[in-house]
Amino acid sequence: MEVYSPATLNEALSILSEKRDGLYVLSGGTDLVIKIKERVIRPDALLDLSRIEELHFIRDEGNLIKIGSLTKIGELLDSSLIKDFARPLWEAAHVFGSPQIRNLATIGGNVVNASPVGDTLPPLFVLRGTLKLRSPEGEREVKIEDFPLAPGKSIIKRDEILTEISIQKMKENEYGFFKKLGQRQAMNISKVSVAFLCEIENNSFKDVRIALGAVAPRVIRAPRAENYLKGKEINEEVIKTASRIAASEATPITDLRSTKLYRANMVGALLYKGLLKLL
Amino acid sequence: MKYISKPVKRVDAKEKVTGKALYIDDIKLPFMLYGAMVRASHPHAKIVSINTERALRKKGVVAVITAEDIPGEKNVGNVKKDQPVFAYDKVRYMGDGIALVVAESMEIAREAAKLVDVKYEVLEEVFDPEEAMSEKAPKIHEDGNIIVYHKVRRGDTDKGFKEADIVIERAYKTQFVEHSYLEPEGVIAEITENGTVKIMGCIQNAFTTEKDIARVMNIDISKVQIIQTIMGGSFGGKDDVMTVMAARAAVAALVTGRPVKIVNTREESMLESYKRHPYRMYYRLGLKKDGSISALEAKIIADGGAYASTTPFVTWRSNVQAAGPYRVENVKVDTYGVYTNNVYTGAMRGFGSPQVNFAIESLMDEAANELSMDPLEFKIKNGLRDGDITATGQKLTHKVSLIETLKKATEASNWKEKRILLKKENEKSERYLRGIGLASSLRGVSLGAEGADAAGVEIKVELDGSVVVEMGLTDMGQGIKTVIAQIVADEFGIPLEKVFILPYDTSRVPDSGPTVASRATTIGGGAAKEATRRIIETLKDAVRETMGVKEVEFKDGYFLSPRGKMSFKEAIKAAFSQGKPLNAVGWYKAPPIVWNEEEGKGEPYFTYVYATQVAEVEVDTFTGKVKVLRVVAAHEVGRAINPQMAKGQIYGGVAMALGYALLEEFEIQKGMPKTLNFDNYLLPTAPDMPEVEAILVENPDPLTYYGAKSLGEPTNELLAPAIANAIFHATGKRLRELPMNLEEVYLGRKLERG
Repeated sequence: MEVYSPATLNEALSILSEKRDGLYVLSGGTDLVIKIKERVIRPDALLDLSRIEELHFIRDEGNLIKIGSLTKIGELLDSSLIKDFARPLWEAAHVFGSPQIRNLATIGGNVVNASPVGDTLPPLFVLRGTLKLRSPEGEREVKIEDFPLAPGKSIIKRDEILTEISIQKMKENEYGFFKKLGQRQAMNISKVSVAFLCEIENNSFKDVRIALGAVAPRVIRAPRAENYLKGKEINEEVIKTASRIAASEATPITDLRSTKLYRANMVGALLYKGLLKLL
Repeated sequence: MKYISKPVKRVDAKEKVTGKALYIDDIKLPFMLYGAMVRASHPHAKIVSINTERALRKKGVVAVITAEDIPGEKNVGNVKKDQPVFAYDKVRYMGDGIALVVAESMEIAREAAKLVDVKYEVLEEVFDPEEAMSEKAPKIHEDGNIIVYHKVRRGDTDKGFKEADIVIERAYKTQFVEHSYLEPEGVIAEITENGTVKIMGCIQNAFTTEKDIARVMNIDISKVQIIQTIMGGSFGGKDDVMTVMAARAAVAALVTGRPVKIVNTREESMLESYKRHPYRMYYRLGLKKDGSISALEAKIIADGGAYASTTPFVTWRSNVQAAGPYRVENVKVDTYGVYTNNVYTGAMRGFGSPQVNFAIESLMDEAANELSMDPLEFKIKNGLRDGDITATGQKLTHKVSLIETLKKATEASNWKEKRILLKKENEKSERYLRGIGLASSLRGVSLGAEGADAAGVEIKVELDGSVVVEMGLTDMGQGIKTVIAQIVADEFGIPLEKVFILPYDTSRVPDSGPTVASRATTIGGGAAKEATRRIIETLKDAVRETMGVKEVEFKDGYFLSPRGKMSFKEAIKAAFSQGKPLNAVGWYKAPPIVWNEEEGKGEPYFTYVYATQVAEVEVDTFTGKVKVLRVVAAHEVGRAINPQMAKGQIYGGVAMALGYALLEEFEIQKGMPKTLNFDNYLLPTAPDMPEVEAILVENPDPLTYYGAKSLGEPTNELLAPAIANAIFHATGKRLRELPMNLEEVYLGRKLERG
């Protein structure tokens, strides 16, 4: 197997544009290497991005936070910018894998994997994430919500590299969280995950965003629960109703990790758990 | 005693923590070849043909070995010789091996293994053990699907149930569990220049393997040498599976004339290796209003999977311990081990006790609840005491420590206050409910009626006063090397550093049976002590001869006589110059037992250990998540030779049992295993572990050297029922199926998968 390890984005893009079938892009490798080992994929060559320093940053830009795609999950966890202004993403980093995995895995890799259980996706959905995709022809920006299509499938083109993820900083009156449920305390693959963000005005919900993981072939929003909450006063009855609605929006399946009924119920339980703090 | 009963550092710690210890995967011999298995494609099928041509054409492939290459017997097995080294007539589970591709590298061997073409005729399968018991079920082996049947009979249960005020009937169910040793299975076999078969590997019971290798290779046992490499864990798991692997490598070494190494990947290990048996347990219990037990009946069915392995012994222990540590005058237990087309099952830490303890200890908690009694009060009323008679009719002549463990564990966990306080607090909480539960056990020490229970240890003293020890007992992490070194150093009155323990080599030490049943310290310790006694006798003779005295006493490393004293080293030199032997084999045989299999009665073990574990949990009723907050484990051990390692056993056993209770399940659907690595076979992680308080209760046994008994397995057999009982205390929900995972706790049942 050939391994290309370019030091610049341009070099990487040119290798990618010349590529044949069988070349895979390697970022942190915590998913790709397992797929190679299990022979789910059989690469002829790997394009290792890990040396490209220009894709490795967390920047404070006014009301935006820009995150280089090669930023490690552990670096998100250590960033006070993320902790203070992108709380759902920080909470996702907090429960992501184990310290060893957080030291290798990158946010870009987690996004491009487009897994319905990817922990950074629901937070990016609610934080209004946008993605920069670069190819030799140029650059395009897409909304995170338009990015994943199905497990492992996204709109990224063969010659594109995800370079940057930008999210909107949370405002003073915004509240957000990420909750995931797995069987154990670490090294946990979600059975269900929920990300939430809202603005609060006069003890009422305003502009609510809810994203659900592991309950559909891709991460989804919960528009009916969002609409229900908008303008409602914060009280227990409202929270309970919203949780019930969100649960009904999930379309989970039964697989090795959990069952349909349990998953749907847990969407409500996690949302309720997170919203209780507002009471 | 300078070392015994002290927290001495492990003698093998340094090489392990510095990475110098060589495990089988680290070892490479000149001209060595690598073997990769071709495995079954169906859980039950007749093998029509095996075509190896395409594999043999691949560059780097040296040979493809099948059953046809075996010079001797084609089957091996711990109890029944029912497991093929290479499947030849048919395959019986997905882990069966059909052929071994031997090549210049592991990569080539694995690639070529895919090129072996096996044609099958699929046979009707059976995966449910209760279905497998029916006459109509497809036969997995020629003599039917019942591997074994055991019973216990005491008194008259019909009469007992008639006298009962309350009768409860309950069913409990447990799952397949993987040992999850860190190091997967591996061996290297070679045929030496003088024609012996030499095998290295992480083989737990090398004497068991040795005998089967001799049969398979059609050579004398004296020509088989098994050298145990450092074990990266075992927990009972590196027994039959290692015999099969060693036999495959030996045949391959014979065919190719070169050393052959086989090492399983994690996925192969999970697929092939035997598991802890899933049990179905149907109990019926008669209770009187005064809180006593009038009758107990149990029907127990163990899924043995494709091969017998140690199922006859595992189920035997379950059978005799099925009534728990209680006084019950009318007992009827029927226990079956059954073949299915699932992965085969065998020895795993606990050996048939974790399953029945889950049932009986949940049942006793249910009984206490029916009687509106506190479970502790119920256990103190019914628990075995000195001189009581067990369910099999054995009068207990040792100190029965059950009540002592109950008292110590419940005091340390504030049982009485918490039973009331937590209930009160729960009334105020909508979401998080706390509870506290307990479980107790009696456990027969060592092998019991499984077979001859003896071991030998050889000691050689050197002229400089240092000592070499050889033994046929496995250190798989439990620390027997350290225990034996402590005993030898203390008996000789020499520093621990002067004792060196050689690797376990079957060609050099007497057959000491398997290192199982938590027997190594009890039986091996006795043998070590006996060996030192023999050497000391020789040295006393040497001192008598040198000093010209009759009376010699050995104390604190010195031989004292009326004419002066001699050091240990001086006495060795004297003995050597007098031509006396400087080595001795110590032999220890366990006290006799009596078991009548026909009548289901007897004294199945010469002594017992007792234990109580208390678990405090918090249940998140929104999600079903059970957080274990604290565990107190009080274990009676006879005497702790090394209290630090003994507590280590408790911490480890509790961690493993936490996985059994809440997380772990080797999932298999229609014979197809679904959890082949640790991404979906969920072991507990460090953050899942509660605080564990380990309490050692020491009542030295009069029948053993130093009074030492067992500990390794008892630590692993109580937490699941303690947690189930704590969940009941917290929520009022009774869970009768393991693991008690999120879905089970939240929904109260497991949904059908798929």
